[in-house]
Amino acid sequence: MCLVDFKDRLSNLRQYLNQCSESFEPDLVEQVKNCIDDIDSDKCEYTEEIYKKYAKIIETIFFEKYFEHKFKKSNRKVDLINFLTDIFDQLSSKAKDDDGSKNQVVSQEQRSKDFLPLNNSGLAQLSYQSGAESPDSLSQDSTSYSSGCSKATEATGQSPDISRPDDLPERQKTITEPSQLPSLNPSPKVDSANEKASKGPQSTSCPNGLMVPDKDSETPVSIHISDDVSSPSSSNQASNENNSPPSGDQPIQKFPDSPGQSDSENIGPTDQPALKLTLKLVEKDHGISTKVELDKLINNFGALSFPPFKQIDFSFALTKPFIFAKIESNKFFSEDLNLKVFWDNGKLKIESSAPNPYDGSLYIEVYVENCNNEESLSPKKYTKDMYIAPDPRSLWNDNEVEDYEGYEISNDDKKCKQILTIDKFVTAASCRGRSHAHVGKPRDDNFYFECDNASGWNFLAVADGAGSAKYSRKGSEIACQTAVKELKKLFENNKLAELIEQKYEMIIHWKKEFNELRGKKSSDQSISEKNINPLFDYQYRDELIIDKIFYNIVFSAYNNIFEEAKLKANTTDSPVSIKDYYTTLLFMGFKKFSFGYFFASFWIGDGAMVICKVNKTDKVLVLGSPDSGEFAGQTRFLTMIEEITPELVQKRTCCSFADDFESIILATDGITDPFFPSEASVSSEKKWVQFWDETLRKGDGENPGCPEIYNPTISCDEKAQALRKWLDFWSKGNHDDRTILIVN
Amino acid sequence: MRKLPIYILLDTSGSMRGEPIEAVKVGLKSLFSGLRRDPYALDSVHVCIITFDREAKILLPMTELEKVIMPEIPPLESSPTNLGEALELMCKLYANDVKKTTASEKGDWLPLAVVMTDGSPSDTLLFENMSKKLSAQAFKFARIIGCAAGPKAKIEPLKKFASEVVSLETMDSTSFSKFWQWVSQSLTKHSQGTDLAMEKLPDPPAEIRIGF
Repeated sequence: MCLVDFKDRLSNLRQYLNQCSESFEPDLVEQVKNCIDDIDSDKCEYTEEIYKKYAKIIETIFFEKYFEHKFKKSNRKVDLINFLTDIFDQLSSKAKDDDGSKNQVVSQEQRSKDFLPLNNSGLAQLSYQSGAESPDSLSQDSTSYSSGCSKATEATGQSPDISRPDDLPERQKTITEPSQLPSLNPSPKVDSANEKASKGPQSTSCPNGLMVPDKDSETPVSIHISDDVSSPSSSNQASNENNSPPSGDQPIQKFPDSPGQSDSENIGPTDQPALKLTLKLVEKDHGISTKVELDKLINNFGALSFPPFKQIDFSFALTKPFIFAKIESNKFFSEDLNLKVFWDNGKLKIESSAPNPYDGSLYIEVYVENCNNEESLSPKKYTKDMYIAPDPRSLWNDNEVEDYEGYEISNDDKKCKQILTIDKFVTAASCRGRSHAHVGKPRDDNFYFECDNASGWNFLAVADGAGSAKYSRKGSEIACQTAVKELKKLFENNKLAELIEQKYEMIIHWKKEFNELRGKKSSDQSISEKNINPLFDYQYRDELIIDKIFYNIVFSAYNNIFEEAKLKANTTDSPVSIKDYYTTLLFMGFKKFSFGYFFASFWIGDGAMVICKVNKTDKVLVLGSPDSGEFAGQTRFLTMIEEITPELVQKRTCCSFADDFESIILATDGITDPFFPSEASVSSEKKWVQFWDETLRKGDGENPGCPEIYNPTISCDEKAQALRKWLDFWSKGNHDDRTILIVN
Repeated sequence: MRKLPIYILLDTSGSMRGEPIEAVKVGLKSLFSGLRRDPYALDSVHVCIITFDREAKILLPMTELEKVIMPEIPPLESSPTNLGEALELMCKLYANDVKKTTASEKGDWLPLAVVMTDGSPSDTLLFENMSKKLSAQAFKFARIIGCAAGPKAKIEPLKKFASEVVSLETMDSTSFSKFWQWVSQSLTKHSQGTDLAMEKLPDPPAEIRIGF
């Protein structure tokens, strides 16, 4: 077909549009007309622009994928002309139909019914000639179409004789039957006369000996499945490369540009699907309705979805009329995806010991041999969704932070010091959670500690900045440092140690009561009954002005953050509020006296602070309770002004005693969420003993433990390293920043 | 294990026939495809699909993302659009599906809902009822995204209960795919978890008019 002819078609189309313009949107019509003018004018180059323009138009009649699918790899003028020609064809033949009744409106439903959308893999939902439609609409075979296009490319400049059927429905049926697979038959000759005559598929002879008879006939012809069926063409090879499943190496930056355009759906211009199974079944009994049974068989497949396990075991049983014959799978199936398919006791099994991830379609061709040893020539074709889940761990990225916005922080931190006065170590480690690493956000957790050898006091703090607060890493840093520094300052200025020594009698009395009350409680009792919990009893605290001190500390921490927020607001245009610095805070000061250890601590927010295994028992002192709301993700913060009242601070402050202990642990929710999944379990002494004795020491089966912490001969550096490494454990759904501080 | 429940309500009345429902299917597929590549989503997302026309039906019960097999949407028949019934069904399921934090169990993430329809609801009384309940947060959602698809669609009804309403200018597949991309992004942002109320959603693409 030459350009002149094409121009005729264009004017036909223009005419047609004029006739039934009310069934299209007016600006659409306008666009098409403009396009036609463009082509007509011949002034334009077939640039990217023009193609895009056409795409938009045709897209509203067909689907983007159809067009893309055709022209992804090709930008030749000739291809476009051919493609458009066919569309105009169909439109103009419709116009002929409509001529009889000019007012006939082509309804949207009707339009889309005629031009079937392709499923995601670019393959049409084919249905068998029996008229059993695929669930949605009539089918159209993409394969025969592209052969039309490739024909054109072969005959340089010369357009093929694309037959024009007299009316649309006929043509539909024609297209339904896949006349040949492009790979098997690169350049068939289409006889238009034949086309018109037969209602069935085109009869052609092809080099590979594949004959396609009239669909109604059952004349057996020996089928010759090319060995090539298992090796896709080289261009498909390239697209197979694209099909490589998402791996940990590929940064998952954003979603694809159009629906379903995941890599696995790139099908090359030859339409050879990436993933293919060919089955040959032998019919056992006479007179069974082949078509129906086959449909049932394959439709029982459903869509295949394999979870991320090592072993996939998928099977479906053959119904009675068939016995197995032969299975072939293509290279992608067996090598790239590591799948094995075989018959096993009348069942078709798909297995793998190490499947590779995949998200796309499985294309199944079924040839049936009837009991007269006659084999079907054109296979029944099915397309099933297939999804093999990747190992979710491989999907996590580790991205650098792009902009710290003035508050730079290292992605992890670790520190270990020996407390000489009591011959213990304090080891702390903090790391950026996978959720932050994945999106290149900084760590929001912080810790800080100081061991004052002169006074014998030790000050510890951890804090967790709120994920949604912009500068929360600064908030948690300020909170920790202020807490420790103020603890030190105020304990010194108020001579707390001396006060405690002076009030020795009272302290002893207090400690005795403390132990008695503690002894009365069962080990798993929740801390909610604070008014009779000796840890929170403040009768004696007044004597040591503990509450005053702690109120001052908490207030300072809040205030320092507030001042920082003010400073920041002056340096930046965007609004800054203290909400941007939201953080939790857990801190403690402790010292060994002649009567034993004395601890004073404060806890707001989630996370936990405990003293494990006191007095050589399995008792654990849980120094507060996590504040959380109804749904995951809600908590209270230091930086909420309403929390900074003497009363509320008092409620969260506690004093405790112990003759000795195995460990003190401060942790953020990055640690408590995985190991103490509920509020009740954070308060459970049993669970803490388990954590200390088993999980942290030996591991939990899935992740290793951190035995170095328990080994006094190991150096500080090594301990710090080991604890930091332990923070890399896997816990489903728990990808928050993790911080833990241990004294033992 | 904290899950992130997502309810997807799809209008399957006659007016969605053809391109709109096809685009929705393609969009859903790309939504799942995208979610499956996101480690957060794989960890926590659970999906429930409800279709509604003459009646509301559960097309896919609340299922873990990695086990989701996209179900076939049956052919559409000419029928009314009973959105109210769909909302009612969703709220019924909510009671069973979504776990609140208790002393012994950590609660689920606040669920999300995406409602796609191209027409106004036919069951107005029930719809009014349900809208009131939803906007009064009787059932807490992190977000309810209402999507008015197509030229016939009206934004007003959706505004009654949705936290965001988008309107697709035309129902072609590009806008649908962009819509699904936008939804995916907000879903994964949500499953990344926040301590406080939801962060601002990423901006929707130009094709989607925000109806407010």
